[in-house]
Amino acid sequence: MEILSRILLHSLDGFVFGWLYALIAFGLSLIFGILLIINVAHGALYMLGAVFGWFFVQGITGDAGNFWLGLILAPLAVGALAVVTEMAILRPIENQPVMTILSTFGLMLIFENLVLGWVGGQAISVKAAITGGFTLLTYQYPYYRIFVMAISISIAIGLWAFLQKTKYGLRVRAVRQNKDLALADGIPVRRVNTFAFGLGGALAGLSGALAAPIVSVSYQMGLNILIVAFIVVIVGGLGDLLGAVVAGLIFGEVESLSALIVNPTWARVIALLFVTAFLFFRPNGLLSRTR
Amino acid sequence: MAQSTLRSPNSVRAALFLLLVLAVLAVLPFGLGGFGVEFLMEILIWGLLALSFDFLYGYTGLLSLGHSVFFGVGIYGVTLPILHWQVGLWPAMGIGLLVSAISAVIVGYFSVKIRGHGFIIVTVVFATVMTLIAFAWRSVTGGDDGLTFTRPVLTLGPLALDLVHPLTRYYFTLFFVALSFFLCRRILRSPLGRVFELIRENETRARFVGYNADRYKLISFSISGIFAGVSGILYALFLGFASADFFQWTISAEAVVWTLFGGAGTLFGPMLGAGILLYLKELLSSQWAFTYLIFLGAIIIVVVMFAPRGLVGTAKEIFTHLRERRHKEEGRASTVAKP
Amino acid sequence: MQSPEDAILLRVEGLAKHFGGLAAVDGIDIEVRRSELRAIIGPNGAGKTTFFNLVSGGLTPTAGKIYFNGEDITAFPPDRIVKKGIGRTFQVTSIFPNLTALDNVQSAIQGRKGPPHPFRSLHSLRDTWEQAQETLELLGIGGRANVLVSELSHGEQKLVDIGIALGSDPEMLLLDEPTAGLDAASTHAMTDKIQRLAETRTIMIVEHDMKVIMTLAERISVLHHGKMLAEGTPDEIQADAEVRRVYLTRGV
Repeated sequence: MEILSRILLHSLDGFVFGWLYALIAFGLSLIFGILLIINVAHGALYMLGAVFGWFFVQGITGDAGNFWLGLILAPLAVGALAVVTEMAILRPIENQPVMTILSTFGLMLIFENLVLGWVGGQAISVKAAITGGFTLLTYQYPYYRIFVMAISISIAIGLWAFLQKTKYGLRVRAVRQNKDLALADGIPVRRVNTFAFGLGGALAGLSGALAAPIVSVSYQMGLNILIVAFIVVIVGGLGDLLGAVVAGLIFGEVESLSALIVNPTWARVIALLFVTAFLFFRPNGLLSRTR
Repeated sequence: MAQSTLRSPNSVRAALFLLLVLAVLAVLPFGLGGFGVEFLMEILIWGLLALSFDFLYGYTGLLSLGHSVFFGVGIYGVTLPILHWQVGLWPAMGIGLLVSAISAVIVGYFSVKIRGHGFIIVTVVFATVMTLIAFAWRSVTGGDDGLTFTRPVLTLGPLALDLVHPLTRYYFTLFFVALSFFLCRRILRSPLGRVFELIRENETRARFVGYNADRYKLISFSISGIFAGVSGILYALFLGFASADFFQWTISAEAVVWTLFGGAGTLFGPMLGAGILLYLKELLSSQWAFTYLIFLGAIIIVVVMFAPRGLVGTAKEIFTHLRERRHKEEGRASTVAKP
Repeated sequence: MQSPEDAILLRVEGLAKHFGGLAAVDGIDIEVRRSELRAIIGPNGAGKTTFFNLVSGGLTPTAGKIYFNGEDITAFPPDRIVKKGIGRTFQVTSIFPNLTALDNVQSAIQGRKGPPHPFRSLHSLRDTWEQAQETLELLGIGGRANVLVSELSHGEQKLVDIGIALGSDPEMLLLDEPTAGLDAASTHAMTDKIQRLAETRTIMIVEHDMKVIMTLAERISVLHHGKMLAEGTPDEIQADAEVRRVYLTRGV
């Protein structure tokens, strides 16, 4: 019974974190699919989302702040920052993949160390707005984690609907398919680029604000998660949202179930190696039809 | 008259310039205080890491964020044998070299199979995995507290020198960094180096003229990784200390930045870039530690936008431009002189 | 005396390549005789370039066999196929932009030799440079040998592309649209050069310019929707009703 309930607990946790990884990866995947760049600053944007979320809730108003307001404002702030960044720093070097990697690494250093200077190096704890939980055989499982998963799933569906069903989504997909053709069709490719980077940034910010109560918030919290998001995106198939979900869930489950036996650091090592291994069998993405 | 234009008389001048730099580095310690010598060593060693990265990126066109793996393996490769088996300096360095070579071949074998952006991501995953392992395996690596060891005696035939002495350590470091530099330069200017360039220029075409690109990418990756390992070995002996932090992918990323700042594909540029940026770090870190990193971030963005070829690359460009203009003017002058 | 089998340099049987559900090449049989100049034509999307990629090793076939000199070379990687004696050019000119024209060709000559030396100077390859110079002169761009190819004109770059292919000293040369993007005069010059090359090697050429095809080709194979529609001499192809219907009447 004890073993069974622990397995159940870890599976559920793996599912929750898997969705969170997928949510972080969505932004990265969107940015990659449209701008064809690896956004090294993505982890830092996620970190900013968490720190802004904390700031809007506890930073200004003390404990009386509104978590929900923070959950909306943090992604907006990060998204706005991303838009400015894209226009000022990335646009001048578009179509130079290596240069954008370096620039976004520079951005990462700037964001991380500004936060270090602002809030210091210690971890901040952020209170969850939803308290309480339900009993899972013998363990208590917090409602908040279920909420995180629900939001992630809703965002995934919303993003899918946006890309498939709306006119703007069609433009985004057209740019992803073929930049030159889209340009020839009169699609404002640059505006789509800026929009994609902004939306990607906002999604990173949202995942940060959402994750803040269940992870350790500090200026370097994006460093390892960035690598997880990278591998989820690339194994899922670049620009493939469903692939990212599948890869994220596999990662979350492998990590969480490994943590039954080994400590969390080793669990992450196992998950990284396990998921990366897929790349050698399906280099074009988990769900791709061609090999 | 068939000869490659890329190997013009310039290369003689370049060789003289490098020898001059070496001579300056050889006498520089006498003009510097104890701190200056230590700092110069640090620049040489980090410069070698940047150089090893440039070997792969600047000449083969592969951007690896995994070089911290070989740096870290080099560090632990000398530290652990010295600490646990009390081996001498040369065997310890030999072991360090061997394990860095093995790790470079393993990481390279898997990474070069993945093309495009996937390559970068696989290398960064390797760095992350090694970092996590090094942190988790505290009993062996000491985690982020690290391991301190006593440097073995440097024996050269009948001579026994103490590496604790800064000058001894300096010349020891300078010797290996210079040796690595000239070895890299030799390889890159050989027929093998030309194949690396072909892959950088146009990998598909290189395949279609008979080069097994994956094999040459692995060779380049391995050589480059070995030199990253050498820098790790030297760094461990410089500090007398090893730490799990040295596996972090951000260390690779810093090597990328030094390389870019100094000029990728120039070998000398990355070392110069490391020197200048480390000097800035020294200046700025006395204020707050984080100001340097903010400043570094800004420098990266500015260099990428305005001088993407780096210091040495831009300087070369200006020289070529000036020379062409001088040639043109001379040409015009001679036509004018004709009656 | 050659037996009929020896006269065949390239034999392709039931060659097919599927991308997902799409059959780009759908069961092609073809035989190319030694020292023949064969043209492959067909409307856009007929599978011509895919066919070239399959023969030269850029793609792995889904089905079918490729024999070169009687040897099964199906699914060989490009670097091995080059060493077997098939060299190619690319529709979108494929060269090494930051090297000189001479170095471009020299690299190909070096490519079919053994492993490159890791320590010797590049000057040790003097003989290959001399060969490269000869190749460039054969193509009429000997005077441009020491210019970076990124600074050459489009037409000159196309010639360097051919020079690189010749550097591998192939028995069979695959030319993928050698006159694409060239003006009338350059097209004419290019046609002459190809004709001269055809005196010493087997050539397979994909081309859109019908005048070029009719001047050069001994036999023409027409592809349509990944299948072989017709094969014959230029006169036969021009007379073929089916070919006229799908291809020529479109006025391509």
